[in-house]
Amino acid sequence: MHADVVIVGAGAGGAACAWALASRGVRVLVLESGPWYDPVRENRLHLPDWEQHAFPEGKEYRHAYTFAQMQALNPQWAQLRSWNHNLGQAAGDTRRALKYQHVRGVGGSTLHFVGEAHRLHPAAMRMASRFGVGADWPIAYGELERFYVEAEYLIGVAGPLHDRHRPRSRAYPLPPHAHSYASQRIGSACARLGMSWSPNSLAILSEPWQGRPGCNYCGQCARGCPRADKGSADVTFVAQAQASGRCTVLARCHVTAIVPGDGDRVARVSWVDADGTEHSLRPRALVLACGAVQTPRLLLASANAHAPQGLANESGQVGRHFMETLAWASSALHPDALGSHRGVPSDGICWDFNAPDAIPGIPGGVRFSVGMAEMDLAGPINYARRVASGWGRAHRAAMRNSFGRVLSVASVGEFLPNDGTYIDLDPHARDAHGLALARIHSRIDELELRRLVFMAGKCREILQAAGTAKPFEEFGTYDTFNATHVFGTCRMGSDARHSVVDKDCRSHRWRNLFIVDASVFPSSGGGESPSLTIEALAIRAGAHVRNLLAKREL
Amino acid sequence: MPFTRRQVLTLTGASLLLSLLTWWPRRETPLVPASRPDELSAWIDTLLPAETDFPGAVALGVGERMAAAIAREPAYARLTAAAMGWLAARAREAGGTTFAALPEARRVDIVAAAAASPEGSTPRTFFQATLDDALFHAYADARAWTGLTYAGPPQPIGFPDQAAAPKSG
Ligand SMILES: Cc1cc2nc3c(=O)[nH]c(=O)nc-3n(C[C@H](O)[C@H](O)[C@H](O)COP(=O)(O)OP(=O)(O)OC[C@H]3O[C@@H](n4cnc5c(N)ncnc54)[C@H](O)[C@@H]3O)c2cc1C
Ligand code: SF4
Repeated sequence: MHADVVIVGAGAGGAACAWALASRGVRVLVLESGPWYDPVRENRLHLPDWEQHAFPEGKEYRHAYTFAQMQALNPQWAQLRSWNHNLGQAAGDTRRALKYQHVRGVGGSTLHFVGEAHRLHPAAMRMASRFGVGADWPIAYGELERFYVEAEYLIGVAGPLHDRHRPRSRAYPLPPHAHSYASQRIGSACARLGMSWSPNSLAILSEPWQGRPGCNYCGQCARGCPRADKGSADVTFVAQAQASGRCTVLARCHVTAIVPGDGDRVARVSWVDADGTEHSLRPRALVLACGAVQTPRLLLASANAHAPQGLANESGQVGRHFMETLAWASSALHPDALGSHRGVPSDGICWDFNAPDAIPGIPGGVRFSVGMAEMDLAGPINYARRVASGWGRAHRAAMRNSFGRVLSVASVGEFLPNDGTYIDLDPHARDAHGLALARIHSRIDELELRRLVFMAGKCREILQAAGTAKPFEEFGTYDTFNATHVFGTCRMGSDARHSVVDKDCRSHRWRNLFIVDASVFPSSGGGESPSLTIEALAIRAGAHVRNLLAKREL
Repeated sequence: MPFTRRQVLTLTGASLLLSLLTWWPRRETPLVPASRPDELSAWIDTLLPAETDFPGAVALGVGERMAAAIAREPAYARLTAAAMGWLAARAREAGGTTFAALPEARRVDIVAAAAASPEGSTPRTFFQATLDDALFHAYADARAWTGLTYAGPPQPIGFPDQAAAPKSG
């Protein structure tokens, strides 16, 4: 099998890079550890028991990893505890290690995502020089802008006409989605509080686009979209890369080793296919895109005499600066029937506090959005267990009086890197191939907690202004590690002593090694969802690799 | 007492975040018969009884699914065995031979007593675990959705009327 470039991982970054290369005439081989997602066989949203099944189910869709000891919880931050009026508190005295949310499959974690397609706030890329915390990006927003446009047009992003925070050279390809009836109530509440409320920019089709149908507002994107109107990487970048005739995707092919060789070049990449057969080849260029937990694992596990600390780890930075999701959501009952289970998961958003200096005294931004579907409060089972109280006839009466009336406001915020939050290899746990598992270390520091207090306070204020009763449930990441957005373990930077890859996502030392997933982010952004930025970076890196190939520099 | 509420909540699942995974996800349930099907059925029927717009948990087949879950989980089975002892004693006190043989009003009193028992006690823990399980299975059946103004499941129609006020009825 001949390929100019081998890409490991077919998630947001790997798929976008594959498309960027294949559409520019380069032959690409993509090795993906997980399977293809087949909605016809696997999606259950048309069945009555749909709510009993989270997507994706089964070990084949997950990578194994472990958690290190979690932080003890401090009564000082009791207001940040997660709780539900029926089910009690979520955690005990120690922070609970729930999940690193990801998908192993063609499309990666975008199979699971809820379609938010955000550009980073330009100032969030200058955290160190402008706000004295975290790190700067080695590129500016302006250098990414045209790649954002490329990604938005390939995916078919639906978004509003104006965005006062992020300059645009071209309008979104599709008009925004109408706010759901419940989202309109949250918008009115924000207006009462002097806050803005705009349509969210979404990788969900508001109109048919390039052969894919428009959305029908089922709200269950995170359970996998059966219509392919959600712009997950498999139905967008992968499909178009394959259509070029220059991209081969091998699913169920798990990369087990990368061998550093002479001349500062990666000599070999090895994988095991679905039948257990081992393969290897000598890549001209190798692009890693396994996500911010598995990419550092693979690099650290690839130590040999040429790279004694692990591949591309000359700076000792591989695995460091891990940034997890800082999130909060409050949910409460509205007196009116709103049919709030309807609509795309996150159609409305408030960006007012997204700039890194928007919250007085707390560097790092946050955003607020609709949260019912993301909190999984959009179906009868979750209403029965988490919303309606009591039992017997009283419970049934509560169901009648509550269904469709929940409003949830969710917030995501900046997570600044700290020295207690990182990925390393677990010396006590190995996978079926004998490779040490990634181990997640996590610590939440005071700035994050103060930001969370702000986020929780505003969520509660918005609900109150919307006329709801007191919250019946709140969920935050102070007492529970549950990350959907993870970044930062192979930071990009201009100084080889403090970063892993350069501004073009190329290893500072290893000349044919590139990383194009969320691990290269120097900062998390103030609540922006990352996939569009990952894709823009990966397209940019792909264009660079193609130029190097053309100049015979690889 | 071998069970705390937290242990049973852990047993029946854990909690969620900004992702549409449920707060308290569940275990899978293979088919293994439970030892006291009549008493368990009567208990479940009292937890979620039939009403004009709801067939009742037992009629929805919840009893079989829960019996299977109990038989599969040793910890759940131990809890159930202890709870059945408690239930039999309460039934005798109420003048019956078994819980299932009692009239509905007496069964309701006994479930209410279990719900009001101290946190971590056998009856309270059993009440919490079985109620949560019964709801999980009952509302996975479209017959339980009557009267909720829910036009699900989510696909294949979706909710194209999402921007408008919901239709009543
Ligand atoms: C529930 C949920 C909701 C989300 N919502 C949003 C949203 O609305 N908007 C948004 O922008 N982001 C969202 N995200 C986050 C977004 O999906 C991720 O940030 C993004 O997909 C990360 O891209 P990536 O390329 O870094 O990694 P991934 O997309 O996770 O892809 C990595 C791929 O590499 C493969 N891989 C790993 N190791 C190996 C190996 N050894 N060999 C071969 N293959 C390997 C994996 O199987 C996987 O397919 C959400 C995530 C979740 C879980
Ligand atoms: S809301 Fe739209 S994009 Fe999301 S799963 Fe449903 S149909 Fe697909």
